[in-house]
Amino acid sequence: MLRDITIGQYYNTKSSLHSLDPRCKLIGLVVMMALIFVAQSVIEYAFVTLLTIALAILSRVPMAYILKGMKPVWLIVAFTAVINIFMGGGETVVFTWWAFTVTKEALYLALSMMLRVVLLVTVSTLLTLTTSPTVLTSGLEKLLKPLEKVKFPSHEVAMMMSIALRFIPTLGEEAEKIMKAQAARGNDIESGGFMKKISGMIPLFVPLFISAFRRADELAMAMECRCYAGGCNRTAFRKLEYKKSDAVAFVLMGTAVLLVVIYRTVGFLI
Amino acid sequence: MIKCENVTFVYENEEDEGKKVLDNVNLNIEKGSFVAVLGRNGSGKSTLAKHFNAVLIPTEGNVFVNGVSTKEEKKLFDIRRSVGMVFQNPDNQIVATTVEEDVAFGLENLGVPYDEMHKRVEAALKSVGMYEQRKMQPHLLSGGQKQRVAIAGVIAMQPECIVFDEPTAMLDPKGRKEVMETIKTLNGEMGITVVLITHFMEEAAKADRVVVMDKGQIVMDDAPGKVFSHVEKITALGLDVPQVTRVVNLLKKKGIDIKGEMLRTKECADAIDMLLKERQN
Amino acid sequence: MIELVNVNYTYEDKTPDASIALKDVCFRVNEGETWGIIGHTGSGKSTLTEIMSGLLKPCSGKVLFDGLDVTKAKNPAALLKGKVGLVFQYPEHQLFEESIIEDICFGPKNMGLSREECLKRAREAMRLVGLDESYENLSPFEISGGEKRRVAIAGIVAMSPEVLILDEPTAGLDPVGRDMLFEMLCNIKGKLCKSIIFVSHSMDDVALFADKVLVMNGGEVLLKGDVNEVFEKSSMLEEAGLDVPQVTRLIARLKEKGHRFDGAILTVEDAAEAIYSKLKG
Repeated sequence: MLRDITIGQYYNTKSSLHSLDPRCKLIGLVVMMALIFVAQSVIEYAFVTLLTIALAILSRVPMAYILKGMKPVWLIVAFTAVINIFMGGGETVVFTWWAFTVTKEALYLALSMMLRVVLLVTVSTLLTLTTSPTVLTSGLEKLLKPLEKVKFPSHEVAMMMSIALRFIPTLGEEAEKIMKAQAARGNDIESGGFMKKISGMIPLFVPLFISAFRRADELAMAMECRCYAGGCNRTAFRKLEYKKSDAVAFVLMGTAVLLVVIYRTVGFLI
Repeated sequence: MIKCENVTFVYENEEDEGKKVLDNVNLNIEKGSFVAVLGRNGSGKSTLAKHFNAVLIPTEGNVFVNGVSTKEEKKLFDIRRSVGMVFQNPDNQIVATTVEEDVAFGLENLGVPYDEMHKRVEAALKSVGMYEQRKMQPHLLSGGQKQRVAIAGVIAMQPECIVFDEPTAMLDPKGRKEVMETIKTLNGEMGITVVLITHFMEEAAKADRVVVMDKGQIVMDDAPGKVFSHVEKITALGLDVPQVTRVVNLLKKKGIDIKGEMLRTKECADAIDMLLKERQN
Repeated sequence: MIELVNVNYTYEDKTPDASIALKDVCFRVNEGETWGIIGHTGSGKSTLTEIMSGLLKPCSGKVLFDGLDVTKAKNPAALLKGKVGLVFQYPEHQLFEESIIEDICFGPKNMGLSREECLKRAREAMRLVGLDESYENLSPFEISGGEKRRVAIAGIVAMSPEVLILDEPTAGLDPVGRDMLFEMLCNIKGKLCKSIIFVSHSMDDVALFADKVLVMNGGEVLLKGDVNEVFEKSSMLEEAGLDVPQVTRLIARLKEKGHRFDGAILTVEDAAEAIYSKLKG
């Protein structure tokens, strides 16, 4: 049950996308997101869609696996689509049904919103699929480092992320154990109404929280014993170095952005 | 190496106020020795262990690590670097998401340079036999393996002494054996001073010296053979005595003359074998 | 009472990650018996306890309770409610209510019993595990670890199961805690439960407390039967990676040296007696 979550999972195929520097990929993600958000015309949408597909192919992660990871997102996608179709406004009526009117504009809006969500999720999933969580964390720490000047706790954020990643599987296992133990005492969360299900969760959550706090306490003590004192004067076990491939990736990113800018300007001029 | 002078400790929280967890403890741990601290749950042995690297500070008295009092806050990092600590729950002391990064954690904190760090991590992992698994995620390891990773994390910091706070209490017999073997090598081959807190008498029997605690006080302090020969006293303290020691003790009571203190099966079997053969002749 | 016939269980069955946990296990527990299940980690002993209590359905084979095949039921756990009680490892981690009495009432409440009946059973269970009335309204989080474990066991006992199964009930306890726990189990068996099955890593525990033993190895039954019969085959047990009690090893060594000992020798007293009579006889 808890093992089914594939979002955020690492899938190593040793592709060129995997070997890129995490900082490069993080910047790439931001660029892709920006491109997806500014897209308006059919051509622009086609362009970002093609880019995303190209990235997915480059990652060499099986398409089915990527889609499987997106399962929980489909509901959100469908929901946005429905809302947009019926509430979209616009003038060119395609058909009316009961109290709802569906217009061409609304349809276009709904479709583009759907596409946006799907693309955004896909590129983010691609990042986590091609970058191991630890590498991603150290990449993020490095990228956020300049923000320390404005008192942003970049080291602490990265440390928190790393500890969370470390303890998610442990707490998941623990949750399963507690579920079984309470089931042995006749706790039933499968059947019954909503309220009954909620009250059936209490025997799971209370012990899980208590255990999480105990773990946090012990971990803090263990960290102190190993001379942890925050981010100052720390060296890193993992060295991040930009390689040639990263340079190529940055050039490609720049080109993509440039293409969109040129298209926009030309479109504007005409 | 570590010296406790009249150490008394009282927890400050409201519930247990006024209860002396440690009561006037005096102890001197010599460099290079292997000392086991044996006691029931609640005898104060873990509390004592936490004094050795300044996790806890005595309410009265002093603890000195290489002559430095643990009350000196400025020397905290020096103390913790020379006295490392391994805890009971292997899960709750592994910080990083891969084995090698966890071993590096302490070194990162100390600001050890990159090349040196990689060398030390590699050496530490090899010394506990976990080098092959260096890229693995900690939650995929067995309990014994996790505990060995935790040990490697401490070794990498090159401490003079390692305090083990019931390191095998949550492990199965196989994990227990792995960890005990690792501890033996640390002390025997690398010359690291070992303090082992435990309630398993088999483990204490492997030390050079056994300190028995009860109600916050040290009640016995001697070589394991000597300590366990007081079968009644140890049993009264709620602790086990090796079964062969008990067999020998019963035989002695019946008037059989067996010399020496028996802890291990082999020496005991040899001694009894000799007696039996003597009788046959 | 409980009988397992050719039980097989595979985790993640029919997927690439499939791992076999139990292979053709046949095992029968009769009324009045106390079974110890031993085997090292991954030998399938925990899976076995979950199958016996209906929490897992075997992939094939039958689980009979008083002759009734419970695997045919849609929800075997519901069918076995109040008949088979399972206490998990470190059961104190499952406590959640505000007061001890409420926590113990949780099981009976889920069985659909009236409030009075729940309280009556909870109080009875508290008495059986050796907690007096003053504990009733305390929070289960402000008592000691050993007491917490008693509360958790009382939570299962209050469902008045005919068979009580415990997964490593002595994990983390010191010798006194362990002896007290077994004393408590004897008490429960005499007054409420007809049979007790416990999983353990320790052959010593099994030698002291069980009258029957099941040895698991790699998901299969390696040995089963009376404790003294099984312990006779100490070489087979050691091959399976189990620690046999030290006295058993002592006697085995003496036998190797050509001395004859008849009958099963499981305890220190037996061994001392046998050696003494050989020396004097």
